[in-house]
Amino acid sequence: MRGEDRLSDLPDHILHHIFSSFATKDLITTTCLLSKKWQHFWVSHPYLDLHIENYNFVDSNSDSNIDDAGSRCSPKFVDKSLYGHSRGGTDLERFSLRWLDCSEGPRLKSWIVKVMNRKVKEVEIVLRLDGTHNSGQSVCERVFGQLSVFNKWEDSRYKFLKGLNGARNLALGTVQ
Amino acid sequence: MSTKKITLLSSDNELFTVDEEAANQSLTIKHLIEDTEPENGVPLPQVHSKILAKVTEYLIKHANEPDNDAAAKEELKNWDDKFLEKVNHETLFDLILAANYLDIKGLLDLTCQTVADLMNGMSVVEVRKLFNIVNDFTPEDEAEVRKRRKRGTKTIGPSNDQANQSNH
Repeated sequence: MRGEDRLSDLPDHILHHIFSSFATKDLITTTCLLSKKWQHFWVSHPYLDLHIENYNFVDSNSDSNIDDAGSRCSPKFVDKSLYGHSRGGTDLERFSLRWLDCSEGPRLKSWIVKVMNRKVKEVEIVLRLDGTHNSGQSVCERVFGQLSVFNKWEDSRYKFLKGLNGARNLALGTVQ
Repeated sequence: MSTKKITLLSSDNELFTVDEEAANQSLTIKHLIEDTEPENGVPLPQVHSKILAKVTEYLIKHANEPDNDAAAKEELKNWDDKFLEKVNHETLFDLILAANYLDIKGLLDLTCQTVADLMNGMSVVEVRKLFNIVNDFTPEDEAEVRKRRKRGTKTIGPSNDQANQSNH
């Protein structure tokens, strides 16, 4: 059996590339216990991929198996991922968020401001707007690299999304 | 269309010849031959012939990437899968380092994704075994990390600096 640990020896930027397709929760589950070197690897990982669902269950069982939630996470977890850095965090390559039952506009806004401050290059947000506000929209709408979709959003709650001009790639989806 | 040939020199002095168009997928090589082309081949002292043979195979295959031809794209994807199918870990990691050094985006994406796929659905113990990662946590440290992770969002964050300092 060969004993060399080629993975751990790779430069960090390549390791981040390798894990760029992992959901943030899966990344932590897979890496933080591998060895001491890996314990805090995820903290500097520039790809955030977060999926919030049924979070009340997760939050209210703080001492039970968070593993059971799989790749899904709570808004608190997103807060921690974004604000847990003492030095403001590294620049982000991609911020991907799926939050179908999003009911907290201000919280979402604070995250977007935060990822913009971290010079995010690519943003993907999938939300479900409640029926009264998206009657004129297709069931699922995606836009890459342009912001015209926001003009259709009459809902003032989401006007702040216009601030995402700096991101190179932008995808926004709504699901009914 | 030019069919200018570029000669590459591996770390163990083997020569490989490819079309300029194929070679230019490597931004490192592209820059190296921009001003003056070395007479005895472009020296690549970080790449062994065994790896450079694989790299040039990739470069030649990907020299004319199809734009809108779905069938050709599918064929190329199948070729990529086969290209790495029988490659051992040693070679896979050497290819990653070569793709990084030579700055070949397609090859780096492909090899990194292959490593990611290997870990897909694996437990920590399985990943350690797969890549010979030595678990240097003491049982107490490991239990502590597990505990903090299980407690979840309250303490999972990197702001828990005591974890950085306790291991010495």
